[in-house]
Amino acid sequence: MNEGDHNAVGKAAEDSRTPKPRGGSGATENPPASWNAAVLRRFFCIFCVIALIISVGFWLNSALAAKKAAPQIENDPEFASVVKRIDMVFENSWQEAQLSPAPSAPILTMTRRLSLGLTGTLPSLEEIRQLEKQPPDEAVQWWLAHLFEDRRYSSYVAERLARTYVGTEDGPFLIYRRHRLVDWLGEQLHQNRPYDQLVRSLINSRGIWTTQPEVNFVTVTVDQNQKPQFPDETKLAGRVSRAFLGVRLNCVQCHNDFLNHKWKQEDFHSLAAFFTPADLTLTGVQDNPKRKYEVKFHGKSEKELVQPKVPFEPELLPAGGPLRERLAKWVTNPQNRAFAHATVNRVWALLFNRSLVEPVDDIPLEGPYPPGFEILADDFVTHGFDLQRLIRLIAATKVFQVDSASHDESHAVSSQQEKLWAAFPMTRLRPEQVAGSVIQSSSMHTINAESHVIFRITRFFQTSEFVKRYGDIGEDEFNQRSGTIPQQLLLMNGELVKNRSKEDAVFNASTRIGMLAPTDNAAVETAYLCTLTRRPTQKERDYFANLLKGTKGKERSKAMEDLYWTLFNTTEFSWNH
Amino acid sequence: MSIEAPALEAVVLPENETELRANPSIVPVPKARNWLSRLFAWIGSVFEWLCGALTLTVTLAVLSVIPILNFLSLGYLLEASGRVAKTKRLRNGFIGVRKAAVFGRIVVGAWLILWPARFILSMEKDAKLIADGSSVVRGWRIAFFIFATLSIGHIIWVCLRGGKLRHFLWPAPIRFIKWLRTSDKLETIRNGIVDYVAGLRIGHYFRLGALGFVGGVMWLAIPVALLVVGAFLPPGGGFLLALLGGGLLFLVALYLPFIQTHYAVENRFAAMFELNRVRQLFRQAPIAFWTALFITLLFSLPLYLLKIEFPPREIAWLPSLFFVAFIFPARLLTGWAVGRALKRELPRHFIFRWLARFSVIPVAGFYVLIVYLTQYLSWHGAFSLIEQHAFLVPSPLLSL
Repeated sequence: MNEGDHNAVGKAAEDSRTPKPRGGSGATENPPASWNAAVLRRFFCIFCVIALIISVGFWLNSALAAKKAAPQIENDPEFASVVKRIDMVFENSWQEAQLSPAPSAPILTMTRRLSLGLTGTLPSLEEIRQLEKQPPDEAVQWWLAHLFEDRRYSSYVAERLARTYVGTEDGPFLIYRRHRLVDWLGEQLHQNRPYDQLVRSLINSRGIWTTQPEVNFVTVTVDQNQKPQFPDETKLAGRVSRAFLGVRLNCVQCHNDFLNHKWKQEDFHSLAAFFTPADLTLTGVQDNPKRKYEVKFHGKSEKELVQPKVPFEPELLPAGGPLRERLAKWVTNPQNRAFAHATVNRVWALLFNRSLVEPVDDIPLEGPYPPGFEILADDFVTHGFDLQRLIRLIAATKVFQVDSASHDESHAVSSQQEKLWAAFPMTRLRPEQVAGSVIQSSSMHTINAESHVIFRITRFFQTSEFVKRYGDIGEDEFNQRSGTIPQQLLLMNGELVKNRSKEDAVFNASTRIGMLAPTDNAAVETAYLCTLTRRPTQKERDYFANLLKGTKGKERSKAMEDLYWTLFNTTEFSWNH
Repeated sequence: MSIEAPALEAVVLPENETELRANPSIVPVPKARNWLSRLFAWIGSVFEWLCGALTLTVTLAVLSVIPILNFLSLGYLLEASGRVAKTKRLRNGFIGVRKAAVFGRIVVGAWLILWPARFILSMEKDAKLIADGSSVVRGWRIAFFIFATLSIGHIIWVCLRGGKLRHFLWPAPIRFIKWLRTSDKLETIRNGIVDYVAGLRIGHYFRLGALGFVGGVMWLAIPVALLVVGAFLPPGGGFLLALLGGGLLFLVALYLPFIQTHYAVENRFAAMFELNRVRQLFRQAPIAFWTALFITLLFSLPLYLLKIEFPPREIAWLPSLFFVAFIFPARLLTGWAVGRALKRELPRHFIFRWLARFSVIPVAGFYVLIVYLTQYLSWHGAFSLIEQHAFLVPSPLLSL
């Protein structure tokens, strides 16, 4: 980069400005009679070359976008037979209860459910248009394949699982990095790592919390007010039993189970003893076999040394190896049904916002189980603890695909139908799902990991602010609760809804739809697709089209803002159905 | 690529043109008639220089996070250090600032000029989603092609005119038509581009950076490997390896910045291993060496704080701004220290030498300690030990 370099091109441009002496060479000496035509021809050539380059770029961009939007769907003949078996057992249960299932839900409704459960947001108009190009019988599986390729799936489900594994608190300073753990979980989900391997990594993690992010599962339990600092065996045992075994063993931490005498205090502490060797060292969490676990049991005056012992299926526990490694292998052993049950129940709850066995982390070891539960668990184990297959399986069942409402107004869906999964259970959206839906609705294009960083940062801060005001549920994810007046007021008057529906031709879909829709009907339909993921009924279409009729400019933008605000505040928008 | 056209701007060279050519950092100032004109010219020159420095910083920051291209960034820093050492003048380390200013102006101007076309394109995409095939879509598409073509044509013409910001405001159509009539325009464009690219000396910077990187890695490989492996071992063995790796890193940190500058001065790869020569230079300017080492190691520490969280891919270059802002002055200072040593032929008094020797121990020791502790804070944990940005680039391997 020499400063002194002079540019010949600039000189040429200057030469063109400076009159040339007569008699020299060049085009300016004796201008031909048709020089204007020649200049125009050159100008036209330059224009064409640039336009051609832009056209090629435009075409390439479209071609690449189309290629990206074509995820592969696995063709598995066994898959259909498993779905059929599940459907059959549910149909039998409905017949026994003399219930008829609700009619099938529209494909767009199913995609909305899947997007909310797996990405915490609505399908964008861009995605809906891609979906509409797929054959109807493959649409749901195509949609799932599309979501699995999207980083929103791994990030969102990782956050939901992290709530179960480590809660929502910040945890100990320096030695706990929740964000790092969630990022690691997201990467494992994106790679579709077998779930048993993932869980083994968490339970048997070693090293520094930054280098080995799974170690944060252990370090989150360290109480920094105590000296010396160790990972808390009881907290770890509680997390393992509830998150991975679906057993609330930590309820007997202080005394035996007085209600049904199933679990004893010793069962819990024997499980906790597996975590005793976990120690904090210069190289992070390492095993220290010298550490002992002593507990003062209820009614005893002295502390007793507790030996590690699993609460059930002891024959599955490996005989040798470090304690945490043995426990990890026991938890994820294919014959340990509790692990498969707990996973199936949690994934089911992610998709329906209601678990198959309630509560989600209290599954009886010996049953009885609801229909389909064992079939799903068997398939999950047989296919190598494949989470994505489990999700695809659940989404393909009739239970997932039934509507939440009866199409016959004289026979509304009963609570019994919802209870026995003959109708899709209606549940209130979680706060981040509401925020995600509002933000996505305000853009016709998908806001995902490939969106501009400004959009993603804005989404992050707006979601955080909204969740803070709306009220986070914390780690008790599937506790059904009723809505509050402040929550409704937040939707009606809050900053997020206001900012995302106001007149703004650059950032808001409401204004753009008003400007770009060729007809009023198209504008109403697009607004419905963006916000409610369905087309309006004839009555709705006529009503809103009438409001837009004859409007232009600011008046039209205002009418579109009102339409968006109305749709944001419908019950339909803030419920999963 | 920006193409400067000083001829259009009627720049008047200083009388001593020979001095200007020998010393590129001298700014050509337009001939002024009175003090007011001189003042404006001076303000303009300072503003242009600042714009150039900012552009250069951003460009180096962006380059430093792109695999392979980050050798260019390292090469530039080494060249700056080497030039300061050779000429003994700090200002000679700011290479190509004026040229960077032209580049910066063109980038900013082009970004602004392309806004309408980008907005129209987004409208076309949205219209297509609402009702594909409608007349609205066709209208926006035609508007996009017209706007994009005119915008890009305008940007090219601005580049040919010299890339001033004011050129973006008015396309000067008559001048454009006159230029179209010239017979040798394609040849001059080609020559201009070739001259400009050759003037950038990309090959030189790349070679300097790549070899400097390889040499740096050869010095750092063993200590860093010991530190990284130590982090994965149980406490006893891990601590011993970390101690050994830390000790070696301590020794390497004492010499590597000066070895790299010596390599840039000599422009020979073998110079990366002439430890005795560097030790000799240290004896000739011990206090300057201590100051340069202190600043180099101190200025490298803030960047570790920015590695606690992992930024999104698009803004990964933002922390690198701090890298350039801190490491560039440190490199210049190292060049200055080596330059002082080269100026002298005899070693300094032993009191100064031993004072400096003792003083570098806490400096390098503190640096090694901080580097070791970063594995507990940095997003990549022990792997962040590989990121020796005091001597290399911010993320030499992890971005690959």
